Amino acid sequence: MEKGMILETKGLTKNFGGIAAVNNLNLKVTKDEIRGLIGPNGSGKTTFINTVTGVLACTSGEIKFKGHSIHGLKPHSIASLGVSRTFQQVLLFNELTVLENVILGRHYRTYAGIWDALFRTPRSRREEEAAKEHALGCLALVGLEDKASELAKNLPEGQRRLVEVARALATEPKLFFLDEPTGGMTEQEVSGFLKLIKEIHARSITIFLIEHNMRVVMEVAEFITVINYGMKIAEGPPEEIQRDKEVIDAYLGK
Amino acid sequence: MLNIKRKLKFAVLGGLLTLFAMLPLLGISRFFLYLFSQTFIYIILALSLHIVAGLSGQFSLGHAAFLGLGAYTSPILTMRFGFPFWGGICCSMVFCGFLGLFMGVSCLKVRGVYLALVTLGFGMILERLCMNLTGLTGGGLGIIDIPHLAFGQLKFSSEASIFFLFVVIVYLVIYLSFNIRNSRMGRAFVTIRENEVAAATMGVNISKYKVIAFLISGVFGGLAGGLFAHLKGYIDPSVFSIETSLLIFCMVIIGGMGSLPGAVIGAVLLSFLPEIVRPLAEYRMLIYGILLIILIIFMPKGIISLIRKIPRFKIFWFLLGSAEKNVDKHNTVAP
Repeated sequence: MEKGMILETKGLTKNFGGIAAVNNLNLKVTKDEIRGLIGPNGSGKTTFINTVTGVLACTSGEIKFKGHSIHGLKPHSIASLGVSRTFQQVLLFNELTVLENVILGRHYRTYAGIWDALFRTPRSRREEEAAKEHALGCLALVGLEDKASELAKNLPEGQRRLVEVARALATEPKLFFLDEPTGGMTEQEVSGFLKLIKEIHARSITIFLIEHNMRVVMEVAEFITVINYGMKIAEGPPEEIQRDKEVIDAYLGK
Repeated sequence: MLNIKRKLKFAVLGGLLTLFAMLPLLGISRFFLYLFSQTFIYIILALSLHIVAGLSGQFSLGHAAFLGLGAYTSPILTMRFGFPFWGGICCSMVFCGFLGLFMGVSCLKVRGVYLALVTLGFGMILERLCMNLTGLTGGGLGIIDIPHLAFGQLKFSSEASIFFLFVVIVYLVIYLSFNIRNSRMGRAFVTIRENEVAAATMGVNISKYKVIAFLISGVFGGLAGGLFAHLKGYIDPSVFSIETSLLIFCMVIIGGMGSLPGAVIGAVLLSFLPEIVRPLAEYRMLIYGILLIILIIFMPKGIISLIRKIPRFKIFWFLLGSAEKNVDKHNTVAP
């Protein structure tokens, strides 16, 4: 394992029936980079994130986070190592308030147990206050602190995405997967989001970005991996990728 | 300002609760006091189901198992093995806690209707066991002449004294349930109901919290069961029946799934409704059934959804405050 690697997959494969959604994928993500992952529809981008975060079990291969294998761990165990994510289809807790959604991100950073929950011990109250404070900070970062007491289901799609980002940030991740975060956002919201990504990155969080919107990827990503049919077809800095023949073929067809 | 508001809230709420607890002093008939005590038991049971189904989204049809096991444990231990009453009730809670653990673990792999069926099975197994372990449980005849509760010199044999004891216990259980909803654990429960995948990727150990929900539910159910046996004075295996499970389930649904006040309202309504329509004699169950159907059709989100809409009940929400909506919770941080 080289120094400075935060995530490394070797021969990662995920089969659905006879179809390999992710096929023998070798990928290395350096600490503190902004990595972009692009590929045509159905090329296995989301499946890749799902296998790395433990939502899906991979068929074969190796996944290492900070040098330790996370193969076969449950999603919550992987999350508590410092891997956080958003979803392509926003997955918020709809019946909870925005603030509660984000406080949930503090779950594995807090420790109150059954006894604390039942009797509201001073310890748990202090912890709860601190979690709330932290969550409000995260909401402020995405610019939604005034929506804190709103129910999550009542927000428009663009803001729901931001809540999801705030919730993931509340976990203080080391590695942050964003799965097509600009989907459903207006052009103006996208510009704001680009700034937000850079701000998050400045907090020394490694960002792994799946995107459909080329403008976004080309602008923020420092290094881009392109996959098609679950296999890596190109890798390099944005300028190189834009010129890569195979990439152009995959996107536009031959 | 906020502190004054909060103190006022607690004062008003405390006053109302104390006034209600003084009800027996108004000379209410013994029948109604008994009915109230029975209602309190159903409130505890409804809250027990509220934690598993309302908060965590696991639709259990096996809550009669908790009621029954709790109801058998305490009398058997106190009458046959000479346990003190508090010991009997505590054992009811502990045994049902274990049953909850067991139920929770066996329900980890199943969801929805399948989970309902598995939990239903628990009630049926216990009912059969009860019928056949004649030496311990009295078989189909059940246990009769169960003594009233007594702690040392304190004897709870009159309807009024039972009311006083139960009302305190029910307040405590409601208080604990409120706390659960607003805790780290309660949030974890709700996220399991809302979206398991999102909860897991945020670091919530889903299996653990499902089992904990069943555990707490079991302990509450065991408490209700123990009190039930000593209130009724007799029990037979019919406490395990599916009717009981369904009744508890209806209480939570009719009151408003996921809402604590809803569970309480549902329990009160379904305990009193059969008595209110009692003068209709044999049409009683018919009317009762029709009322249930009407309630479900016109208020699928429960009675609580109706109360939420009526502005006059603002005071209600004011009193319950942050427990239902987290609005002023937020304001305490950023006014």
